[in-house]
Amino acid sequence: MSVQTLAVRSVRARATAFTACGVAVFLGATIILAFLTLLTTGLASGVSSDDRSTLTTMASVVGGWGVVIVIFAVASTMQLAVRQRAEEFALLRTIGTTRQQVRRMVLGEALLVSGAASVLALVPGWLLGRAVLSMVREADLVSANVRQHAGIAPFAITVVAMLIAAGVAARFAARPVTGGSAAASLTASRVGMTRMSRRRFWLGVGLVGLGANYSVLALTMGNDSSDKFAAMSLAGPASVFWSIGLAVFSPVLLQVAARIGGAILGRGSAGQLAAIAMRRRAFELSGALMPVIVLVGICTGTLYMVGIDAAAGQLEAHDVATDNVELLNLVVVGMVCVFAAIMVVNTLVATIAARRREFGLQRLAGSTREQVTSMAGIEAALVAATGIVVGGVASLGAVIPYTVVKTSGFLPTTWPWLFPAVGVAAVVLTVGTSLVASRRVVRTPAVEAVAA
Amino acid sequence: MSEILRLDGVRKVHGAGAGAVTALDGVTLSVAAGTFLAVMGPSGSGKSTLLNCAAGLEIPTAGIVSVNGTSLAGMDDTQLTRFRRTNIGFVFQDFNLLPYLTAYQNVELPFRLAGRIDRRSGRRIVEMLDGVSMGHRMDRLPAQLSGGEQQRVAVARAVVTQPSVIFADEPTGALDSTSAAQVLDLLRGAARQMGQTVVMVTHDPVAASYADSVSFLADGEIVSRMDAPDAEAIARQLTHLGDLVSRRRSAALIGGA
Repeated sequence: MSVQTLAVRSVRARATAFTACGVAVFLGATIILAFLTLLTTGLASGVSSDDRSTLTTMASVVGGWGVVIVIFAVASTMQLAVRQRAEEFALLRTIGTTRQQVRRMVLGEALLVSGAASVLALVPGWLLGRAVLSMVREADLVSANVRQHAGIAPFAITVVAMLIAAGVAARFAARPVTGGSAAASLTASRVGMTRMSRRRFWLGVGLVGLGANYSVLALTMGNDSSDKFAAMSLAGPASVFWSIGLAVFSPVLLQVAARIGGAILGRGSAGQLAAIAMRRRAFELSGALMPVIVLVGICTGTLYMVGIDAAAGQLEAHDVATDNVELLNLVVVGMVCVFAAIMVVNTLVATIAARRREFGLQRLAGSTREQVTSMAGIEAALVAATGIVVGGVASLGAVIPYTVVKTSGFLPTTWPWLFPAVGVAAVVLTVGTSLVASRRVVRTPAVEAVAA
Repeated sequence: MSEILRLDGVRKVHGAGAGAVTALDGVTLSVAAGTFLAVMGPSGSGKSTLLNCAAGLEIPTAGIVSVNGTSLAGMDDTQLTRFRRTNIGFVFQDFNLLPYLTAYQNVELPFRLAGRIDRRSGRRIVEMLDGVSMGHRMDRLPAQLSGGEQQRVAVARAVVTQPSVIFADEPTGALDSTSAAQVLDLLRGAARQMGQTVVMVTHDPVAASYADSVSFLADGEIVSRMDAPDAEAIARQLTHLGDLVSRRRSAALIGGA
């Protein structure tokens, strides 16, 4: 049996692990394609230079960080799918599969999933692009006669970009699980990872550094009177890179949170069991924390920018056009936020589906179904709390510079309910999804769950 | 001696309709307190199903299981789990320790789930781990222990709450002969020295010879019983049963045709 056939069979057998990745690719490709069609529409011949600059700016400002978030989502779900199978890969190697064959198999699976998901996204992405363009037209940002001009390029670029993102992510994810000797990998896969790799550490440092760089740029160059988008185009990426950079440190952050949580929850309770489990399984659970940090960081950051602009707009001339622009801003930023929210649910469902056997073990050891689900709920609450704190910090990287540039203060005075609202949304999404998903998983009789 | 476990006409049918398989066909069994009983039979005879039904892990289609005078019938899942936690210890073929808990934390788990952690439970856990010669490795994770060591921890976990019955499903199935002997000694010791009742399913005549008596299962029914067994006699009986079952099955096939 060739490695390719093995890859196809493996994808079929591992549907849940790959569903998360497929969903990320599908939604991500939809968003990227929508913005790419705005770009090609702007670049098409017969479009006035004003319209051209509006469309290309919109596509690159919001589309730009959209791409970064999408790539991050694809990479983190891919990593989840690969890590959950560390033991399987180690077993394959003990029976004579070479390291290269395992890596090729992972790559093959990644390309298969991302290729299929991105092709499925072509029609929705095209339609979303049309919808955004018609909003732009209704907001009178471009002349009424601009029509969507897609051509073949955006479709090709979307699929190729998704293939590259998934492929690179798969290679990175497969490296640690195929690094050592076959026997060492097998032991490691059972003990689980306990330390962050040096590569991961420096990736996080680099991304946070990039975020800091954009924060400083937004502060110093955001007040450019010739370009009203300057502050947003610099503060936007700041929130994205701060969020993603801090999310890379999730395992360590989760270990710290579990320590604090354990101290708060006291001795003897199921809560402390959750805290012990989290400290040791921080690496497996960090997959669930990453999207929460990104959701809170990016939504808080970008929505406050929209809020500050809205407040500034109200002071100036108030007409239908400014209302439309505000609405458009909200819709575009909202699209990215909804994507981040779906990723939280998506990732959690995948993490919990992979714990069917573990839940069975808990039940055999004497946990009632309620104890298993409440432990999952406590873990989710800790994840949400960590995500809110860290995401809140990440959002400051955008919120402070933007507030300083646009108003006289340091922190926004508009929309004071926004951060609490984002926090509540994060808790509801995280804890709600965990409870629903774990209740479903724990329904399998314990004896079956452990045997499977 | 008082009766601690009783099965009355226990039937278990897997599936429904034409594909239904009868795993247990009216098993009646009584186990006295403080005895070590082995249940043997050819593969597919319903051994594991018997153990799962007796331990409340599977619900019988018909018949009654009583542990320590309490009938398991009619309990819902949560009641059953709580009952199992205090009255039943279980040792599995694949150890089934929680991978992210140390040996100590695994043995502590039943107390933790029942919310009964105190200094006494702590002392008892250490005592149990010493008893299975794992006191020096109680801070290790299961993956850092050998199969035999993991199974000894699992025995400590099953015994620590002093349950009414300890069930063991092929506890030596995944072990080498030396580790297997250690685990069997521990189970026999639990019965002889601590007065625990142990019911073990196995297909290995040597393992079964550690028990006080052996019940033989064939086609979902208990067909014979042997007291103070030795490995050779058990092996002979098993061979005989195997012949009996295959003759019965081919007769049924011919009769049905």
